[in-house]
This record gives sequence, structure tokens and C-alpha cells, in this order.
Amino acid sequence: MNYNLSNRNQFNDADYSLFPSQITQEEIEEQIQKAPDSVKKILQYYLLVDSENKYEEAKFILESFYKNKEIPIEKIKNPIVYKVIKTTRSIRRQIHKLMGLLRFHEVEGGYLYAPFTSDFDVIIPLSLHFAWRFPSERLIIHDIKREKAVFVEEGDLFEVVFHSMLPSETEDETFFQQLWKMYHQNISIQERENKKLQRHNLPIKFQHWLIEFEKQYIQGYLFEDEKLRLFYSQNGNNK
Amino acid sequence: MFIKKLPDTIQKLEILSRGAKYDVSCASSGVQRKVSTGGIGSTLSGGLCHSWSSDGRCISLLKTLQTNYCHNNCAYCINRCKNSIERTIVAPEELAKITYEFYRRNYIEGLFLSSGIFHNPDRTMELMLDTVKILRKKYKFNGYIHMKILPGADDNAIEQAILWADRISINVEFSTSSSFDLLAPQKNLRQIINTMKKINSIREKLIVFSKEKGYCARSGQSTQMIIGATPETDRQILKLSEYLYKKIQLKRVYYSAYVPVNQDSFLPQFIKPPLLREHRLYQADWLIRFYEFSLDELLTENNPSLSEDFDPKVSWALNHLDFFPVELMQADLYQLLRVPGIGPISARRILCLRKRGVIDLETLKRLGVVIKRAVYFVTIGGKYFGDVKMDYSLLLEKLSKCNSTREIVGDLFHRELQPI
Repeated sequence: MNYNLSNRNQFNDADYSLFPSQITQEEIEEQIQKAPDSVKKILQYYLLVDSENKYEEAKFILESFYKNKEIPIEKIKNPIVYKVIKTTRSIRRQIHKLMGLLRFHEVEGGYLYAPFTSDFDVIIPLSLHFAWRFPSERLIIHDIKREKAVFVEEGDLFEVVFHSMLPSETEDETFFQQLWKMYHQNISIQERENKKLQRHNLPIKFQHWLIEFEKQYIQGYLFEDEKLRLFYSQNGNNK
Repeated sequence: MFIKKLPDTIQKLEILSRGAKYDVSCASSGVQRKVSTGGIGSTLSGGLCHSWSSDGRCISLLKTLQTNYCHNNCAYCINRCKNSIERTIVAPEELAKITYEFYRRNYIEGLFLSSGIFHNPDRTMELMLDTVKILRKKYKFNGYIHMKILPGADDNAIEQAILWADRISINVEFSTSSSFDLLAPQKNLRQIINTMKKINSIREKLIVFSKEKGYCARSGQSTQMIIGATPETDRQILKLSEYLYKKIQLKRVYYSAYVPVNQDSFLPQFIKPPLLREHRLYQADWLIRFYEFSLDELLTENNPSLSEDFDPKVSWALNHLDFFPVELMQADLYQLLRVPGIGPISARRILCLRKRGVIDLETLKRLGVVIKRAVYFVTIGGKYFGDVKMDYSLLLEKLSKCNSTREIVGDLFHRELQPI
């Protein structure tokens, strides 16, 4: 049966479930894209979380919206709605943070390579941001933890499979990294030093890929999880 | 023969960024713009932080001077002509290149360009404008640019700066003329405020004229005041801020706790910068801009300093207990905004939600209200949930225990910086 959601006024509650129970994951994703802003804001990034019943929860929110015309914030007493709103907030926050924290390394051949790790699967929204911002650059954005990489060229995104080591960094790259490290140290006012506030704003888990912080940067994508774990254990807990 | 080796790029940036770091503003917010065709860069209306330095401040712009040569001799400034420090000047092309290369590696959100005054203000402004124009035209750079206007710059330079930058600022530094006479005799309060007015009118004219095109300093104008170097009271400082926000439509006034960089007899030689005072001023500034407070409510002639122990909103509430409790199910926006623990966002959420039914404490928490403070000042459906009576001395004790985390961070910092 084909449900036309643009005609949703014809539905009155309780008669039947709005979505058939065997609705596929793609259809849920499609419905989220079609939904009005108040719902889209909550669900758009929710599917990036690693959770088993995320589709069920998304479906629940969509249904409750179309049935009762309630925007999600009105149902914040409901544990599922609260969980979804809270998770989405932290996903959005992390996307925003990583937009600022990715560091591109210029490698031979004119590519810019940026490795990162994150708690959520945010590589697509991140890549889109950089595709819009640097339309004339060729970018490789690499999620180390999930072993995913995206190649961006002229605003288009492609999936990447690595067959060889990355080319080495250019001479310019070494120079600008050195310049940036110097700038980062130099801009701090010693009389106001507040490492705790710095850690509060920039938790250790984010510091790993920042050239101005990292001591143990290992070039290229051959970065093993074991080393990441070791890094965390040496630098205090990242929780 | 005396031969001095010319500093290379790294040394230049080291010298110039050291001279620029006392400028507080690093915002990259206020304007949302997509990339231009064939160009590079965009801006986000909320701004974006790219790193944090070890003083905990965010780094979002490449903050630097064009030159640290300066003919002014302001007592509070590290670059004053009397100081014997290393001096240098960076070529516009070189600085534009550094900005561009930093930007495409995603180190920064844009450029913050200030300068000492080399020869005369117009000549220096010309150099700064060259840098900005090279970035905008040659590199087709569409990211954020914050430009300082030098005191004494002519109208043409101001107009050009507005045309190419996203944000414009000129530092007002002090709120009374007597401080200027003492510490910065070459500057003058009236002249600086007149320049700000001029910037505002030119900017408005250009925005109307340009019809959605050009940069036109759309993110507005900001300024900065030094806190603690002169005997001005909090009330005098905030009085000027209020005037600037209301009359000259400033976007932001920054407060900068004075860091003693020079040894002068008429400057205080304390060891730690007054960070808590700076923090309280920001809080009061927020109350004036977003919470519909007026300055006269917060501070009076007889009581011109903000409390160190409580944030200004809690202090106001403690002194106006007859205003409370506020009934959450009936209060209007103005009343909700007066409650400690409720902010503009959570107040609007409460207004939206209470149409659908009674609100309980758990819901309030989920809406973002700080319960540990709000609970003593509200009733929900006539019921009061606080564990002590609404009494001045009891509340004083309760509320002094629940300062926000940011203040705790600040407190710790103060303790660490005690003189050895």
C-alpha cells in the first residue's frame, strides 16, 4: 500500500499505524528528508549514531508527529524522545567541533589529507562541509576508527579504498605545520594560563589529530587501534 | 659595521602575533556566506573554533599585526614606542599567503588584522588594506576577515575597510577621559567614539547601497575595554557599553583583564589579572543584551561594583525577593528571564510547552533549566519545591554552594596564581 504523506490530513489517530511495520530503513531515511523542519532538526543526524534500534526510534518520532501533530520538544517527557533529542544534540555538537578540528596535510600530488576519529559516524556531513568550503581542492577525509574514507573533488563525494601508502607530505606542509605550531604556542597569554579550561573546551580525545598538540603523530593511514589505545592511556582517560 | 639579519617568516609571525595576542576578540560569527565561484572559503553564522590555546581561549582567527612599529606611547601596550622590543613589518603578499595556506589546511576561520602605527595611520591602513585586498581578489578568499581601524584613519580608508572586511573594530580602551590623559595621551575618548559613529553610518549606507553584494562588515562593529588598569568602576564601564549597544548598534563589547606588560609607576603592578571581575562584567553585559535588564537595576551610584561571590543575576534576585516566586504556568517572558537558572532559550521552551500541560521538575531539567538555582525562585502550579524557605540569609547560604563549572574553573585558576 502506498502512503502519501503530503496528504497526511486524511489520517486520524488510532485507526491504524501510519507506517506499515515492515517499512524499510531507506524509506525511513526518505521520510526524514521530507519531514518539516522541527522534526528534521531532531532526526536528520540521529541515524549517524551506533545504536541497534535507531530506525525504530526514528519511526516512533515520525509516527507521533504525524498522528498527534506534536513537535518532538513537546513530548520531552517521553524517554525515547528525550534520548533521541539528547543524542542528536551531541552528534550535532561533535560535527560542529570536528569542522574546526580536522587538520589537512598537503601530500605530494596536490591532495589534502585529513585523518580523524569520532564517536559517531559523521564522515558524510563533515565531508559535505569541506566540499562546500574548498570546492577547488582535492580532499581525502579519513575516519580511522571506522576505516572509512571519502574523496572530495569539485564538490562531489566518492568512497575511497586505499591500495597503497599515502604519498609523503610536501616541503611546504612541513613549513606551515612548524609555523602553525609556533603560532599556537605564541598566542597564549602566560599570565592567564588555564590548562583546565583548555581541556574543558578541547578534550584529550580530540587533541590526538591536532598537529599543534600531537607528540606521537604517525603519518599515513596505517594507524593501529592499539597505538590509539596506548595514546589514550598515556594521556589520561578520555571519558 | 652593524649588520642585522632580516627575520624570516617564522620569526616575523612570532613577533607580530606576540604583539597582537592581547586583543581579545576572536569571534568568527555573525555572517553566513557560501563560497564564491572559483574561490575558497565560507563563513558560518555561529562561527567556528579551530583550536584552544593553553590559556583556555579559543583560536578561530589568525590574529596578527601588520607591523609592531608604533609611534604611540600608550602605557598599557606592549608595542609602545618606548619599549625596546624586536620590531618588524610583514609584506601584504606574505601575510595573505600565510592566511591562505593556514585556511586551506583548516587551521583557522579567517584573519584578524591589527597594527601598530607606522609613520602615520593612513599609510598603515593602506598596508592593511593591501593585505585584505590581495586575499579577497588574488586568492578569492571568502572566509572571515576582522579588521581594526586605527585611531586617526581617514574616511576613505574606513570605507575601504568596511567594504572588504566582515567585522570592523576600534578599541575604546577606557570609559573615562581622565584615563586616556594619564595612560594614552595621544588618544582621545571623544575622537574614538566619533570614529565609531562614523563607521556605523558608513556601514549602514554601504549595506543599503550594495544590495546583498560585497562584504560591507555585515557582522558589525565591536570594541574592547581594559579592566583593572585604571580606577573606573564596573558601573562606569557598563554605562559606556550600554551606550555603545543602544546608540551605535555595536555587536560586541569585549572586556580584557589588564595583564601588566610594562613597568610604569602609574599602572598597577599586581600579579594576577582580575579574571573574575572580567567574567562578572561579561555576565552583566549578557543580562543587558539578552535578558532585558537595564544597568540601573544591576548597579547604582552608591553600589557601583558587581558582587564577586554571586553572578549579577543571582545578586539581583537576592535583593529583590519580593519579585519571587515566579509562577511558571502563568509568568510572561519578562518574568521568566529574571529567574536565575532560566535563560532565553529555556524560557521560550517553557512558554511553548506549558500550553500542553503541567510542567514538572524533571521536564524543566530536560529543557535546559539549571534546577539547583531556579528551584528557589519559582512555583509550579502554586507549589514551591525548594528545600529551604525563601529567606535572604538561607538562600545566600544555599546559592553560594552552587556556582557554575566555569566559575569553578576560574576559581582554581586564581588559587594557582597566588604570588610565590
